[in-house]
Amino acid sequence: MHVETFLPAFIMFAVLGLVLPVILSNLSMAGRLMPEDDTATDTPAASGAASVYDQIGGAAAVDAAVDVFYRRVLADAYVNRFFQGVDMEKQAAKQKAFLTMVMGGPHNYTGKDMREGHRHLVKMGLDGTHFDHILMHLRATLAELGVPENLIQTIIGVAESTRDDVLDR
Amino acid sequence: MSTVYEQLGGEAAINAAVDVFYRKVLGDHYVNRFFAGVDMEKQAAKQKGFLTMVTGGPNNYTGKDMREGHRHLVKMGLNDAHFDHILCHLRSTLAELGVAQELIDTVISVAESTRDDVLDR
Repeated sequence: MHVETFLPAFIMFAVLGLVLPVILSNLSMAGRLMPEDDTATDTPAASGAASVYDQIGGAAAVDAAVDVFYRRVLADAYVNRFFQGVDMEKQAAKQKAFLTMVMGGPHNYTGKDMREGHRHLVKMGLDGTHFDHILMHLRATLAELGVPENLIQTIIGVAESTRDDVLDR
Repeated sequence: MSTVYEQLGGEAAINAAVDVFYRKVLGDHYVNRFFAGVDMEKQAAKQKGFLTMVTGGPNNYTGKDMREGHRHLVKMGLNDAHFDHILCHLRSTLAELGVAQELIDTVISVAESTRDDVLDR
């Protein structure tokens, strides 16, 4: 749930020298989550090699990240109007699913989901700058939790790949 | 035609913005390492100069200043992602202070125009 559960798991992997080779093998998996691949429901974790999700501590790490991420997003006056009137518990579950997806964990997000789930926000004016803010909060969250730069870049690359679906274009 | 600086309320508005902006930047772990060991008072004065410039207020910033003032940070790894964070914090700051979207867009486009100087390229 908290950072303490997250850092030891990462440090253990880093000390074992497993980080780089696993990232390299995971980069190709990130490609499965590209928006045009609407049928991507496969889980990298189930396919053998460790995903970024596993490397940073799995569900516990995602829970910690959701708390930090959500706090940052809601404190950002440029984007928080898109969360007005939203059921906070449902939203936390969605954020968890989103973070699990971008970290390569088990999920069933599709490009179609991303597109339909944000269409009402696009009608409210959601654009590339708001998407940039969300990416920024994700980077800041991961940095705050001690995730190394190369894993941050992998995760941001997956999040970036959802831009056109989220913005319905 | 008045500048954004004047429309926002001049120096008093900039002072308010510096406080909010600086708090946001220092609270962002992806970028705050670039401010480690920096004299906070001098930095606040620089932030004020920067915000005055991007809002079109009286300033004497030059592209050369931006380039030379950030070169040591570029050597520390400063890149587009960090610049994007600063732009986002600037947008968030202006939105928090109630600045209208069109004025935010104007300010951000001026800030964006400094990207190549800041990143020394």
